[in-house]
Amino acid sequence: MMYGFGDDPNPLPETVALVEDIVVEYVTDMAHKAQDIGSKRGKLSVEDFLYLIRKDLPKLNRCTELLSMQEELKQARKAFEVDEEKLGTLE
Amino acid sequence: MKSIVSNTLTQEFRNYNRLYFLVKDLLDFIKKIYSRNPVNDLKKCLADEKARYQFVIRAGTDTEVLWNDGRQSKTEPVYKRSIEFDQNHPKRMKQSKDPFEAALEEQEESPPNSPVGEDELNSQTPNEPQNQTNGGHNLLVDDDDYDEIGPNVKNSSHPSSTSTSKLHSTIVNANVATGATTKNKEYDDDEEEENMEVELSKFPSSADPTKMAKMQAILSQFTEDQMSRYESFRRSALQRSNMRRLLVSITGSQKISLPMTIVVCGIAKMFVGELVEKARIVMTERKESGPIRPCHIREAYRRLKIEGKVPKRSVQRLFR
Repeated sequence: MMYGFGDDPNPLPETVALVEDIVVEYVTDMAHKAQDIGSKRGKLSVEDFLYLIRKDLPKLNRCTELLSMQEELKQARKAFEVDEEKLGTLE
Repeated sequence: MKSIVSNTLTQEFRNYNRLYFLVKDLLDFIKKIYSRNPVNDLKKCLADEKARYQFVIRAGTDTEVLWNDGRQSKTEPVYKRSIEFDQNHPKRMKQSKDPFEAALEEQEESPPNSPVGEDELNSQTPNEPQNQTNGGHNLLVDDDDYDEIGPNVKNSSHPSSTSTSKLHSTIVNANVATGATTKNKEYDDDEEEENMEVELSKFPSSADPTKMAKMQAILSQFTEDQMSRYESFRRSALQRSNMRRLLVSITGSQKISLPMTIVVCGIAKMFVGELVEKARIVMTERKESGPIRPCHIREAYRRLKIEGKVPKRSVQRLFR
């Protein structure tokens, strides 16, 4: 992943470890904050995370895109399954 | 669907673009077929009594168009399937001259066409003889597809050959995509990080033709190095299972929904991107080169904190 973002093809192991550490801390902090927000509503939901990154446009757009793509794929898979059944009964 | 507004340095990887659109095409197409009711219609579409559909597989320089019979569970269409060889299939393309070159050349110029591809697949079987004759005319294929997008108007061609050429492009896209997929599985094994997974479902979404055209123009200019970097960028992802486990351990609640893990994986990946990019900026300021060192990452992290992109801890970390 780091190579994809601009590092060497073989990043230093200590760099990788540090990045992993930082990311885990980041996710932890985000999750805690999201939980704080979510506790007001009752339970934790995706909306809380989206609220947290609302200021960060690239992340927000990427997340909405991921979510809509997931929906699409789900729909398509469902449609495919339903039609396979139909096809099965036709046989 | 919103397009990505991302400030990462690397550009889109064309194979993944293609693969996404191919998957989308296939799913759309299948959805469309099955949404029509009459059996005759289906049979006519698929031109096969058992209502099988075709897919393409490539091994080395051999290209074959095969029938597929039956599908397992909810897996991705191009990837895992129960394969059935049909030796008598008329569309066997083993004789095609250097299909890889053709695929590469075509890929560089012709983007896939989501809405059109489905209809072409419909008229697949009747158009076989034409397709075979078109096998060698790759430039024609490129022109047709490129015509759809708009910018370069080259020779417009005969309508039926247009359809087959688009079909050709979709099929060849599948070829290269499958080839690229297998190639990347090995590539990923060399990755150092533990949380890597080839995530095929995360593609750019833009169905906007102008954006597609721009993307294709950029991608065609890529060097090998840039392409491999872009590929690594697109293919890498954090594992959802690990993320889910982490979230469960943090929140203490077992109910972590799938969209939530997806979103958090996406956010985390982009955060890694921000870190690495900023570290590179730091390195250029200090006029250093080579692999990124931890000091650069720490400086980058410090700058991100100042910018406010890192959530601050409300309770200070006392012991570290």
